Amino acid sequence: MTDVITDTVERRPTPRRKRRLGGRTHIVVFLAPAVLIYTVFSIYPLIESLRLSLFDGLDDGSAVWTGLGNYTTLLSDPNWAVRFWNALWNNLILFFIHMVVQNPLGLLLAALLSLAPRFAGAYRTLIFVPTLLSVVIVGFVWELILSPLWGVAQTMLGAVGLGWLYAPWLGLESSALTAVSLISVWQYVGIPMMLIYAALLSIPDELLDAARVDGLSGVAIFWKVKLPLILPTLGIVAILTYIGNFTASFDLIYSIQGVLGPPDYSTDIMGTLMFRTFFGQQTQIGDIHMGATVASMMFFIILIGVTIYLVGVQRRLTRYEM
Amino acid sequence: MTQTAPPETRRSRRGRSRRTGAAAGVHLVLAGYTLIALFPVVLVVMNSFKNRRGIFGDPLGLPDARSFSLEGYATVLGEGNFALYYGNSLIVTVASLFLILLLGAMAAHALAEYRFRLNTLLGIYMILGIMVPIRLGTVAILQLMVDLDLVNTLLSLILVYTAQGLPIAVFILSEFMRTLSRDIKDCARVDGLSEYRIFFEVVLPLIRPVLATVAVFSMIPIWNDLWFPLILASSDATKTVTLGVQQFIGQYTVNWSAVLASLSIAILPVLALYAIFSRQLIAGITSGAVKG
Amino acid sequence: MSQLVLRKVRKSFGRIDVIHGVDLEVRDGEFVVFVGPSGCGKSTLLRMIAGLEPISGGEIAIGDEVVNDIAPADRGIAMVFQSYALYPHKDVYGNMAFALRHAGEDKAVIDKRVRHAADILGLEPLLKRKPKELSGGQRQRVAIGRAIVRDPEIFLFDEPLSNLDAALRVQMRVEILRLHKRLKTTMIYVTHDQVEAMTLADRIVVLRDGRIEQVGTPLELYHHPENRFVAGFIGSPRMNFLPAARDGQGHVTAAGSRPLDLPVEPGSDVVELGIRPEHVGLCAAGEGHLTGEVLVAERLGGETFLHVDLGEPEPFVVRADGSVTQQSGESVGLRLRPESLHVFDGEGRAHPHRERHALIA
Repeated sequence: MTDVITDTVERRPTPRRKRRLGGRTHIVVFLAPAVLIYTVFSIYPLIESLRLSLFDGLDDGSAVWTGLGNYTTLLSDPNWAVRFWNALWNNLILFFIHMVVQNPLGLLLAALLSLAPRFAGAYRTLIFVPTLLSVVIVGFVWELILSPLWGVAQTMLGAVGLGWLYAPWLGLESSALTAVSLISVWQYVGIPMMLIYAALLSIPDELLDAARVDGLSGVAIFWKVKLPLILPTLGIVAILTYIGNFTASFDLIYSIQGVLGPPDYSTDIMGTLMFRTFFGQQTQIGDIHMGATVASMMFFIILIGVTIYLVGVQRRLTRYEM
Repeated sequence: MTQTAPPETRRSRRGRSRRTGAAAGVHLVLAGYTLIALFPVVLVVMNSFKNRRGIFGDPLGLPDARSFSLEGYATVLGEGNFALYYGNSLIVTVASLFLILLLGAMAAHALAEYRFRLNTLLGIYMILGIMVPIRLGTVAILQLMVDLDLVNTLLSLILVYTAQGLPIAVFILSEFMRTLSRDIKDCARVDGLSEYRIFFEVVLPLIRPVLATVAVFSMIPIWNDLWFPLILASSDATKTVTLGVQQFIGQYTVNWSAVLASLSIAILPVLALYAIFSRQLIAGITSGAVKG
Repeated sequence: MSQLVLRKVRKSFGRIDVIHGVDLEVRDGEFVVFVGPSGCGKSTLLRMIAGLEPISGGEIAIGDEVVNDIAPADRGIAMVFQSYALYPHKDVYGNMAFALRHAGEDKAVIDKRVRHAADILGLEPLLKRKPKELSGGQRQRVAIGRAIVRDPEIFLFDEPLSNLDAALRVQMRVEILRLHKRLKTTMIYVTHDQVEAMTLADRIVVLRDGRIEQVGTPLELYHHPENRFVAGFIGSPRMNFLPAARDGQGHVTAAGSRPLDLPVEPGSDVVELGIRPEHVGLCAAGEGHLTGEVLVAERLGGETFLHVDLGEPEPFVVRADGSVTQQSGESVGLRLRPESLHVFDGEGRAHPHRERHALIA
């Protein structure tokens, strides 16, 4: 028996060392670091925030389960609810102003750029400059320009005969939020402009030539051919505006107006409310559980917006093969 | 001869004049908006080189012999610690970008290249973060950083920014990698390269242009962020430029030349970099990556 | 000796089977072409031989060794890809030397082999160029050179010419043929282009839906297709098919033709007849086997394709001399060459001809 076995072993050709078809460990190695960091520092904190919002802190530092108690407080306790609804309303106004000013302006600039006038490259590059700057810097720059102390805005309006129009907009309850929104529009209009411009460029020239042969004028081509084809991009711009409105706008308001959203909370938004609730300010001590509750509410509000976009808007916007 | 020519000429002449008129309109709008976009920046930088009297007396004038002054810069460089802040911002931005690009490309490669059971699910999980801002988890992130003893370290910012930048990086890169020819990777396999070397030696060189785009996309929000430096790393040793400027201005509100100088110090390097890289940046933004 | 043996090779993606138990033996030095419509599994089968696609069942052996679990680089194969797959960041020399350098081969040996391959393909002047500085034909030549450098036991070609324009394709086809004559290495070549298959192959493997329909020399497939699919797939313009019937005396007719003399055993079950356009002669209307009206005359100069209406759904195509004068609207008579008729049963199988074609031993 043993003989037979050794025999067969020896009869084999000398085995050249050959690599086997690989296992699949490399897939794990490729994925693990990204998934790990992302899970620990992004997904886990989100879930943990949701969890924290279901507890209430005691004076001895321990936490007690309150279910939706914090949410009830936020939405109905007179002290909280007025601030919450005010902040949410301000956020929606902010969003609205971006939708009616920033995005149409971005569309206009992109449409003009896509006509490839001379210096298009220079215009594009320069209009994008504000987007690169820190919101903090932008905030201060505009604060100085609009400041009655310096009087730059006043002087310039005066020069064109509109001096009577001037008011310290950032300090007035009626105009502060609009002023902040327009500063944000000024800073970020480059992003929709670029996205829409890229979409316009991706429309094949032959299609536009065909429209021209069909007798459409430049304006008609824009409305009847280009616009329908870039609708998906406009959808993306809208949802990006919605999300950015809850996050990026904090930096601007915090640096121009501070954490209280003055005057009289007229520029208080969800971001400043969350910051204040979490860390506290003069009259109020910080509360991580209420802070987590505000954050979770923002999460749900964003989720609602994203869902409306995905279900209601995106599915209806046909993506054409180009 | 002359009788047959007119209709043709007239039509083309009218067309031409309408076209010149339209072109002028286009330039009017674009140039006008370009002025609006640049004016505040120019104004601040210009006035930062003036003395107090020049700033208030003639805000719109160029600095001249009487108003030129570097007093603002002297204050900033004397009082603020801007070299350190710049260093911090640079470390945080570069390290985060490196991790986002490397880990993002690795994950995107795995998702685009290999068939495995959790592929689709994991892909959706990774890009969830595009929709949900990481800031909403701030409460828990701060606790986590306290537990890990990372508060007031640059590492805490790097980790958070990496987590924040990964979803969009994975999304853009995996979309692009799916369009890469399968042949070239197969060819490398036939040539005997391991899966790791295929990634580093074949795939990475092919995606370099897209990596640049992702780098630009990820860099701006990191460099400009105020929220996380404020919350996680506000100590003097770990301040970033954005936070440094913000706090410096808070202290020196009445010293206008110092405020303007500190703003200019924050703006000018970014503009210089932009002047160098704007071509790549714009090409990146308008190229295939965002059409998807 | 068999260089490559496939035994009951299967492949499925999830629940979908794409290759259903393929058996094939390829002899040493043979040029075998896999051909079939897109989606027939020919490329998948090639990738399975290369080791790029794991196999779901069966066995692949290269030179007596089962290679099911062996990495592509150690199977003794080299592959040329449709998109050339040149490394864009390396020059031509670097591309050709890449695999050997990676294997840690001696520098002098690499240099000798690269220069040898470059010499065969006339690539010496291009060695320092980057792929983007090359034309399509040059790139494909580099891709082939890279395969030669590896000195494989089997060359695998995955539709290597389909990205080239028509003129270049003809030229590269000849080059590949000469390469095979010179190297005498086994080659497996995938294409959807039957002209490539006919001109290059020692033997052609016709695939459809993951199954082998027929294996044979080009002329075997042309003269003796085993079924309706192969008959229709090989040959251009495509074979004409006509429904067959028996008249009162038991004679077979097609589409109302005069009785036909079939080249198969009498009494076979006959459902359909096939005849290639080049095996039909023209005659005056009313003479010959069939008469019909010319719908279109496509004049290519040297030859003319007449599309003739026989009352069937598809026009009947005749390949005639360039000098024929018939025009659309005219009636023509058609004479079918009886020995070139193909006879199919109800399942689409061809009845074997009584006599093999003279060119096929």
